Amino acid sequence: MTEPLIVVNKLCYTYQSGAVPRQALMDINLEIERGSCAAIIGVTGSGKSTLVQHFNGLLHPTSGTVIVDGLDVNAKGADLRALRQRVGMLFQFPEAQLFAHTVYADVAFGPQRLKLSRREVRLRVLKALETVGLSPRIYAARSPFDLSGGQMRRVALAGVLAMTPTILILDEPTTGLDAEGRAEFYYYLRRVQQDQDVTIVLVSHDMAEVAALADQLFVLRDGQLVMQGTPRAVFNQGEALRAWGLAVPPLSELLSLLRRQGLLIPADTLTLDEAFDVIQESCRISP
Amino acid sequence: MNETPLLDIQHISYTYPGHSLGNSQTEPVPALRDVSLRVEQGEYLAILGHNGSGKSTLARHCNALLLPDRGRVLVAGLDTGEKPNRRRIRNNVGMIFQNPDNQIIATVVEDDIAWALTVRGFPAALIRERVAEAMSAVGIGDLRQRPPNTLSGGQRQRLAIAGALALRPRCIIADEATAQLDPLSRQEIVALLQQLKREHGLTIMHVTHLLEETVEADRIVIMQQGRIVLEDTPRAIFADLERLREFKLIIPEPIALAARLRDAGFAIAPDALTIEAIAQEILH
Repeated sequence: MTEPLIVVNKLCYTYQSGAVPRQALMDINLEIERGSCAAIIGVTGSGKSTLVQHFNGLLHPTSGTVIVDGLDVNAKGADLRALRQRVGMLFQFPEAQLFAHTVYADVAFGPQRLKLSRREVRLRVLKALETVGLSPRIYAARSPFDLSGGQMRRVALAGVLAMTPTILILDEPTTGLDAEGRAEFYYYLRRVQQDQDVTIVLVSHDMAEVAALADQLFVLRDGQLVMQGTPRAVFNQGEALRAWGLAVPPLSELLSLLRRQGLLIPADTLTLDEAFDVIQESCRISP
Repeated sequence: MNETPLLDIQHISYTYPGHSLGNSQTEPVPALRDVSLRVEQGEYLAILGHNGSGKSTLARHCNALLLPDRGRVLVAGLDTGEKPNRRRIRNNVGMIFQNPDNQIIATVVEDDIAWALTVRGFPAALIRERVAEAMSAVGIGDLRQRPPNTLSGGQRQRLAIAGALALRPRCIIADEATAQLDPLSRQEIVALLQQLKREHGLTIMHVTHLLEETVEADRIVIMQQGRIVLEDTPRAIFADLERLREFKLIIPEPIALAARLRDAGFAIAPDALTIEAIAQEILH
């Protein structure tokens, strides 16, 4: 059993800015396994972004500890610079951070500051662009501002990947993209997950969207961790999730409606294929 | 019975002018190509398409935010190309956008709703009445003294809708108004638009890229590359899921499941498109 990559222990965080201090996180305990994909779920203001900003030392716990890859981020003299090289973070609307004249220059910006050889920078940029599905031959010399919204976001993702992070944190990465853009983004993110030895932390308010990717879901509400488990286990708690202002995937909602009406549907049914099979089965037994 | 449609879009084309950005000069982009569409008073119309399909450009022609290069747009019989008509057109057609913050101005909810009335010089008593009416229509009466920045995304979008309603328009255009909301707030805004149609007889033009938001519309218009490529009732549109997949639209899973069960011999009515309706059909 290897050590979890991220260990959060009794984490509390209070925002001191503003007229009244606001407690944003209360007694959070969680572990994220190395190489897994964890999704942090909650409505706006539930503390998701506050939580993940502890993972690269952007915020420091008011109390409690956060240990990332063996490093206590709150310890005196903790090397946050080194930590931030290992933790890549993609913020909301990352395309707003693109700035260079070409896609290549934008993705190369981070690695160049690491004092790598030009050859190494080039290798990293090309690999990162390939990974996100933007063939360097076609896109490297283009202006990032002429690309579609989905492509711009993938350029920003490539910029983070070129830093070869151990942990990749994505805060609401698909907000504002259309269905096609979202599907593409997740397709390439899954490739990142498969090809590279990286732990992914996804922040989202849409559980349906992250279900296929995430191994573990952590549900936050009003700064507290109120539920955790595999997508199957969590979606099974549809009633509670709805009461917290979170929508379960529409298919899970349909299945729970059928179950309440007396159809025999196992609680852990998740995919369309499984649903099709169990409904056929169930209706054969009780016509 | 009024014979004039509320919106009458006649063969319009529109090209965004090119602009320079840093070192690069962008090409002019044709966004609408010979689009015609009639929308009746009281109709709920969903306009569906990907980014760049021209759906927002079309919506912006309906209250004279954009003017067509060719063709014309009539709003309740008034041509958007004629300047003296524009005030009346904009009073008739309220618009809500993706980010409500872009149209929130005041520091307190009720002042924000009153703003458009105040600048138009309405008397104070009437403003109070209209503001109260608009707040209750969208269900934010209990938030009237709150600063807008303390509201949730869904509440802010309700506020934007109330601001538009205060002018008593005949039509609300929601341009991707749900795109930045979480799924539950999204469902609530769609339900609110449905309610405004039902209870106030408003015409709704709901621009979206999500198929699941269109199932309760009276009519769906699908756009691609500046053209209308499909136009029909939800029942007819959802009868051919393959075609929707070809348009790269994501089929809501309950509807995909219903179709598979139908193919496997289950008697599931083709107009069962909501989760509740599909559940009922499966149970019978």
